[in-house]
Amino acid sequence: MRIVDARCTIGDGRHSTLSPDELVDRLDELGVEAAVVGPPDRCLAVYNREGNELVRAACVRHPGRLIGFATVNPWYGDAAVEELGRAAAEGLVGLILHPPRQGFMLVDDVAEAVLEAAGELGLPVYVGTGTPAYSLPLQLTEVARRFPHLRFLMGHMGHTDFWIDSIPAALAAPNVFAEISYKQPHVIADAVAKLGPERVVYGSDAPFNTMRLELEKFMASDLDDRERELVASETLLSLLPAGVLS
Amino acid sequence: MIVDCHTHHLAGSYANYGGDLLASMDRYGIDHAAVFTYDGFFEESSRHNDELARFVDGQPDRLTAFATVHPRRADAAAEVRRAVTELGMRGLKIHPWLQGVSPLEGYMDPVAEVCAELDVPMIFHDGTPPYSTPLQFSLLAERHPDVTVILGHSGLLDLWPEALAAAKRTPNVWLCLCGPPTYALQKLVDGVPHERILFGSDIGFGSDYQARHRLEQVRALDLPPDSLDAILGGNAVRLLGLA
Repeated sequence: MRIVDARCTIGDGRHSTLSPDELVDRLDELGVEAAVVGPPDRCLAVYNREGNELVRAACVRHPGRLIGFATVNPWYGDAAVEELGRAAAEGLVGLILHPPRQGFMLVDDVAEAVLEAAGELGLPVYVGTGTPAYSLPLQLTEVARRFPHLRFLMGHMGHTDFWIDSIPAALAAPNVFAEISYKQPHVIADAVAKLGPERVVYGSDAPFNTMRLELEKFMASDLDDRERELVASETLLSLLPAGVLS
Repeated sequence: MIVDCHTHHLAGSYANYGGDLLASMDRYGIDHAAVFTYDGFFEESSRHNDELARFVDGQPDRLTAFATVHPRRADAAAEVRRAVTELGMRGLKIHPWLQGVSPLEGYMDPVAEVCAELDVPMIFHDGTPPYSTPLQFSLLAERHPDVTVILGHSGLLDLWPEALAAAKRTPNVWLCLCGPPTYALQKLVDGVPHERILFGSDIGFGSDYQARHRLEQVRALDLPPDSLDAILGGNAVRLLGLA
């Protein structure tokens, strides 16, 4: 079974560090084919270009193993749109928004120009959810309804206290996909039962989580073989350009 | 010896969620558990304190019961006293978010005072605004320096830095490692004296898989072996007076 991790962070962060080489070693140990990587916290907040270049360099170093997502802070306005275009031209295939780190509420229209640009570039948008007041599952659904042509990954399904919102929120917007890091096996199985495996993706959120334990609990979730294959990689790959791993 | 300091007993009102706590403990090698109500957060607490006392009866080697009360009620402190002195309970669990109480309103003080007098710890759900943020409990602990105040989740995903600040600020604040991601657990054990750290799984309802997950998280931490043993059991043995 092909496994592709939808959410990892590389670089030197405030609380945790993971180099691209270490990450690939970890993927090898666990039999994971590839991982989506994004930049660390300071680069989410402020140093967007530095972060995007870090990600691009990691992908160039590990072709077929690392898939790069860019970030831009919407408060940079036109410069954010420009940086997103530059990063996409360099081969990054998704956008990460992090409302608490980037200082905006998900439903605030400060992010509108960046989301429109992501739509024009065809980039899926990953948003970690569950942190009040800035990034909640239903806020993501509201944004997804405003941008129905964009695909959104609902990062870690509202963890911690908004997990109950996450599945109803995803059901209310067909362009929202649930990413299952942090979630226990019965929640993963519930998400697959209610949303379908075509709307659920495996992610670890390493290095903040222990990748081995995230993978073990995904494997412990009660799914049939076909469902597990879809969640493990195929659903994510359906959101990305063909040949992203070649 | 592994002591799980955060488990629940379901008394039957919410049968959909029930689990077999002792079987789960056996499955994951947990020797002893501090067990709290679940139903009692929503219903008459004295009835559920009685129910929980019955549940742990005959299992002193495996289970230690914590009471709950509804702090708004005028008889809350008296119910703590009854639960400890008559039912043999060894601590108090409050879930302010589910029970609809702030840690910092005046009704909490008589409850904390009786816990100090009876020398039993208070454990709280934490990590959830608006009524369960770690620094709220830290201020309560400052007001009641003779009470051991345990953060039942160490801040969860988003508020663990606040839990770290609370435990560093206030010497009678303890942490129960139960919910934060691994990197945050490492930061917590790097910053807080190990003799004030406990382990918890939050099992007893729903799936018990998180006992496995949370034990493995703690075992994966960079910790001296003595500290790991203390966090997984020794500190709880001392705190709860287990033999």
